[in-house]
Amino acid sequence: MTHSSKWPPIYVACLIAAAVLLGLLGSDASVQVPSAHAGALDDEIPNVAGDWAGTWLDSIHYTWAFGDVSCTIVQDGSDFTADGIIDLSVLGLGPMPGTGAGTVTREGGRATLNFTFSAAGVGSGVGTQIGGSGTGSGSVAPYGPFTFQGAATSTTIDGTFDFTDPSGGYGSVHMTKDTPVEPSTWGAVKGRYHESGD
Amino acid sequence: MSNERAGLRARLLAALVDVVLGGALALLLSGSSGHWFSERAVVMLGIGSPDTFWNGPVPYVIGIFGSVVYGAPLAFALVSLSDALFGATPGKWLLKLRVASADGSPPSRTRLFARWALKHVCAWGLVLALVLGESLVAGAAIVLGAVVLVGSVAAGGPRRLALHDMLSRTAVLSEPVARHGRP
Repeated sequence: MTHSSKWPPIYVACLIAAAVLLGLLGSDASVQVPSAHAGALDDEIPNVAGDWAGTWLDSIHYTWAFGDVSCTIVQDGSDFTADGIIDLSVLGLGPMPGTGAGTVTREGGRATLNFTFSAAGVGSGVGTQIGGSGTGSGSVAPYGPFTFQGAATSTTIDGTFDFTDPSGGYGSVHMTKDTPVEPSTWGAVKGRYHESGD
Repeated sequence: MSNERAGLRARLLAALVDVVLGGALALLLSGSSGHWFSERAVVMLGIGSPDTFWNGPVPYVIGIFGSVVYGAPLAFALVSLSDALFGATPGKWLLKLRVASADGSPPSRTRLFARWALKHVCAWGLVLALVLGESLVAGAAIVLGAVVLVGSVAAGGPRRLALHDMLSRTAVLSEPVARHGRP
């Protein structure tokens, strides 16, 4: 082994050539997003009206970011409207308000909810929910487009999303409906009154 | 062939060349192995649970360049492996340096690999940590790498031997003769 050996530069040239080749061939860098639990495809849209609260989680920039998310969904006949807040403090944006709207139609005998959502300065998207399962797409500045899928019941909303740009990451949203306070009835009040023995 | 040991300046310049090459390789590999190592970093650092220590602005900024940063240890390990395989990295080759035994004789392959393992413990240790998903291994690699880095200053001393030279009983020699050796 002598110094005049040209193997070191040849070796590194081969490394770089292999790296270029790998880059040209491309890699399947897409991340397999854990699928949201796939419920049975109900023919009816679950009762999603109410107050929802939960968290979001994203592997953005390979560092998991997370925050709170909440919304209130109001149903008026076949129309839905939503107002919500997503806390993006971890990304330096703070709590960002957003809105959504949708309409239920009958398509092929199935109840279909087409909806849109947006948050000023964050992004927007569209989606379709058939029965309890939904899919859609959107775009968030500056990470670009993403797709999402999810499942909703009358008590939980679970979704996953995946950005096209790997730096946007992938993640999930989980929300549960706040249990409404059961209105007191005179019967219940009387029952408790009698239980107390008075 | 001269047995003159190389000074710190020449060795630093050679290391700089290797770092540039390693960085270039890390960039080129960012779309393939770099992405994979970035995903492994999520596992290694325990990211995903709210109580992970890897939060805040520094991890976030590192994460922006994640596919390069987390893939860099492999790139640097690969470039430096030339030292173990051929007794010289491209940087040493450019600066007419070579690794020899402490007495100036040609080193055995085992000695070369031992030297490489000592000197580049941080690079291959981090690769191992990412593969295993063990942050403790990463911490050990970084601490040992820091020791090696500080020990490298000793190459500026009168014996011109860095810590990893002493431990592996090797030396880096400079060769003042023309590379192609024409009379």
